[in-house]
Amino acid sequence: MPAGNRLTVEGFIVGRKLLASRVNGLVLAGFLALLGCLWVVDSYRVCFSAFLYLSPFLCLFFSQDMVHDEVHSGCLENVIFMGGRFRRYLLLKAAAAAAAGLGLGLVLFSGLAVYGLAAGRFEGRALGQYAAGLLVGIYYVSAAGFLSFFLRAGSNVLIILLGQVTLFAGFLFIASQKMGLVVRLTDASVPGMRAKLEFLAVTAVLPNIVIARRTWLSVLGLGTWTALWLALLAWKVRALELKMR
Amino acid sequence: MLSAERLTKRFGAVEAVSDVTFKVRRGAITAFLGENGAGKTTVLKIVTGFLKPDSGRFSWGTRKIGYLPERPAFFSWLSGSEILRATARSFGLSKSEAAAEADEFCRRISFDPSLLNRKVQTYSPGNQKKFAYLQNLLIRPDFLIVDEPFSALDPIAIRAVRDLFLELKAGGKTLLLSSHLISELEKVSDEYIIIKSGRILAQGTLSAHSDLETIFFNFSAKEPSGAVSKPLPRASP
Repeated sequence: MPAGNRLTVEGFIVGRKLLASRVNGLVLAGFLALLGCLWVVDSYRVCFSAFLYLSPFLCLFFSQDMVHDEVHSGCLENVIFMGGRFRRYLLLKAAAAAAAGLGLGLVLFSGLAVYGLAAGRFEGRALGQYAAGLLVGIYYVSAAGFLSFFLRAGSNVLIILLGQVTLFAGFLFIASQKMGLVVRLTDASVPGMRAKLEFLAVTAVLPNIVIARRTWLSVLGLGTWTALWLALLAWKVRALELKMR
Repeated sequence: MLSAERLTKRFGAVEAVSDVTFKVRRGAITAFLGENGAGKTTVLKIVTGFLKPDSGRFSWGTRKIGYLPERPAFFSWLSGSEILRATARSFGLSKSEAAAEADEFCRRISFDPSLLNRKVQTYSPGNQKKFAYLQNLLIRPDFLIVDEPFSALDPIAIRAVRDLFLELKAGGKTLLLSSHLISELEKVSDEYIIIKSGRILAQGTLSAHSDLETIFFNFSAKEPSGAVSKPLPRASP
């Protein structure tokens, strides 16, 4: 079997794919434009806040088309991936999507934090929010990666976004009825088992909520969801075979 | 060189290959023959690690193995030269070494090197096949497996590929070729394996007077033996 540096090869293939994707470029450009607009139109504080809440979506968008299309196009049935090495490539791809999203996030966070420190406007809690955002980013990659076994192209990302839009619409409806779920979700504490389970269920669809509410329950809950998706992803990859096209 | 023992693979209720046992001799060109759906590709995918056998085992006598699927496909976002660079790197070849080799192999399989700057997905099927040969030749495999070696190729390329197989054999390499084009395989093969309904029907050596087509039709007319096949005797041509 090959003696070369396989990690470099797989990293090269994944890196070129991330760079070649127009959607990734548009998402990144749109995200930067949004942050710039918020800073100019409103303030540094609002811009930084938007960054903290929205940066995990970079990981989500970078996770589009992770598995399905590559498996079914036959391009993994290549001498480079003989001996089951296509499985390692797919796992590395998920790791690369997370690394790209989190890496870009780190660059932006560093820039914003340095400016905030220099201007005396940096708030310590932003560190906690940023750390929670990292977990959310990993959650998105693992969930989208698993869904990509079943959904074509960027549908894995689309279905997560659709779930979030549906949840938001539900929230608006519930809030307009002045019912308890939204109140419970936005309260400082989550008393009772039912409220805790509701919160965890919402976290699965809208993990960004953890950035706002960094309690032991939310972090542990999201950590558990992430571990579950990662385990499912690893299991699917390990069992994957390249059958007839 | 390659030894497979009692390989079995099911897809749901369908037993694609059953108790498949064979050996490929070092330094020989072996023709792997069978009708459509006989299980040839499944066996090749098992020994190359793209499918997991339900039971049975196989072992290789080498670490440098090349593989060309019937219809090669490539990452849509990579150009030919990028794929060759990745291949060279994954097999421990330097960039300059790979570039020199690529030039030489382009000439030998009549592949236009200017295509290398384009995305491989934009190539014609024939050029994709030639590119797959190029990619495999670059790693200088000790053992080359080719599924349908002549499909999508024009007559000039078929001749070039046939000559290439003979050159590789002369260089001590081992080849396992699976094809429906028996007449083309006959020109290069030393040995044969015939598979039918997922079971090995025969394995033998070709002599100068052997007619591979007759051997294939004679064996194909037979039904494979029962559920558990016995090691087959070497068939006399």
